[in-house]
Amino acid sequence: MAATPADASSSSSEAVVGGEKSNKMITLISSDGESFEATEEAAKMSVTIKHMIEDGCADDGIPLPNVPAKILSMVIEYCNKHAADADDTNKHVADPADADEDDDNNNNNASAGEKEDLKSFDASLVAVDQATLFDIILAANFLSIKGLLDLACQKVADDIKDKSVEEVREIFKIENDFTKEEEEAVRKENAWAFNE
Amino acid sequence: MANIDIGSDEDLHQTMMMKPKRKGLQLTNLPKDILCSILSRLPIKEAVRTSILLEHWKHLWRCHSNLEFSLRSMFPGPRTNGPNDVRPWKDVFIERVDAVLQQHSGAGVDNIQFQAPCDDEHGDRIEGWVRFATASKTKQLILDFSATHHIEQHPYKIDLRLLDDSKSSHLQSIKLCSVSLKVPADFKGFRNLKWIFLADTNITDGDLHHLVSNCSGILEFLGIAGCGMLRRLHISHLSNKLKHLQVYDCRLLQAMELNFGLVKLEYRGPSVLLSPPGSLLLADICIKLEGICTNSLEYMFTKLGHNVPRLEILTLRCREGKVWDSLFLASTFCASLFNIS
Repeated sequence: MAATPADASSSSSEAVVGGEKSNKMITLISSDGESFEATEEAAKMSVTIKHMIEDGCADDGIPLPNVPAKILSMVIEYCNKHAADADDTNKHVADPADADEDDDNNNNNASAGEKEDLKSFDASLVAVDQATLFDIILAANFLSIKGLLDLACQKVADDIKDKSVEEVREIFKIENDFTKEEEEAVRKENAWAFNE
Repeated sequence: MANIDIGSDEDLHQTMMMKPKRKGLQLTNLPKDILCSILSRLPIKEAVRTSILLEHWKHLWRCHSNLEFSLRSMFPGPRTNGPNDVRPWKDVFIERVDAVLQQHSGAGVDNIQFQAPCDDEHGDRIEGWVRFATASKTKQLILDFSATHHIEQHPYKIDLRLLDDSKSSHLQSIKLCSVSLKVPADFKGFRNLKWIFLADTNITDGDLHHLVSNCSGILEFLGIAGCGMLRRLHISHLSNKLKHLQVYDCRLLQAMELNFGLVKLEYRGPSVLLSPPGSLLLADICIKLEGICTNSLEYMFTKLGHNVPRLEILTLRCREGKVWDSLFLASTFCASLFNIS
């Protein structure tokens, strides 16, 4: 039952203006042809998809040629979990004051228990092998899902942190393509970072 | 300012176009902006170290967007023997910071912070840091020159004109600790500043008034701690955007005139008179008084009285006195507060 573009745009603007969450389901099609359903609310966590919905291009399902089924299902899982807590946008800058004083009154919508739940969900979502993690990063980047992109990039950063140069090379299978002289020069340029 | 070129995204395109049984993506195949995001989550020292991983990454770290320079981040951790340098640590710190800034691309910085007990002695170098921060269009700037032990030193005098409106319209958040702050008469304010925190700065009533008035349209949070010269805080003219006020340990403060839109007030220090312009939206007040003076709470709220109809949370913390005394005091106080009609 494909609605006309006019219907699609008016129903989405209704959903925005009225503050009601539309129950409309959106079909997302992975690169290998598998179809997934997601609520419009969850799908709109992807800014890319949100624009497509608003432009009326979502009626027959949205093909995502860059995202394989395995990854798409994980992405949808993330969006479903986080759609309800969609107030964590635009905190691009960490609030220095929070570190200083005890924050008795949390401004977030979720209760403490819900937040713990989300945290452990997030942690297990990115506890995957490297290739999968990078695929998630690319998908989140393509789909413009900031929270998921931040989460996955943070995981990679955590895997690099506190490791020696050799350990990082091993974990990420990086081949050292410096000549001995070049390597020496790089070390010397910022000796303080390497020697201590 | 280095120009970064780590090659195109052709590698990535290749990988993506391969048939299903392709070998997994490598870290080095990720697009540059994503790699920058990843490296920016590392402490600066570790980010610099990635320059040795492979040739393509020699200059990658220079896009780091979250520059945090502190004694902890710039000096060795517990596992090493310590610096070989016998020069004063301040000189070493400044030299390292300067080296990083000089190599940095100079753009795309979200947050830059300098946290070490520097003072006026290094004024020139610090000015260079502030200029870098402004040019990099950073959203957040922190100059935290506080010392753990009290040292006799002349605080760095910050010239707000370095952050002047025409250049710094990107600045949203600023924190200044242990600096000397005078607001120039022709100061036009920060167009986008939402968040100000001042600690241990010798700013006067007039200068603070001038500073916040010029940011009044946007300011959402004002925090003041240990500003020993303040006697009267006057923010009643500020727009309703200012929702959160934090005032700690301003010893000479006697009165605070609050603004209509304020929602959350956190106060610690001696008893001070709170007064509103009229009815307030205030919903959350947290007060920590040094000691219980029988009249201090009543005094504080004399003028506030029934002007806080939306008050939801009132937190009182008092250091001295027995538990029962404080409970009794709090309950009689609350009763009197809400019985006024």
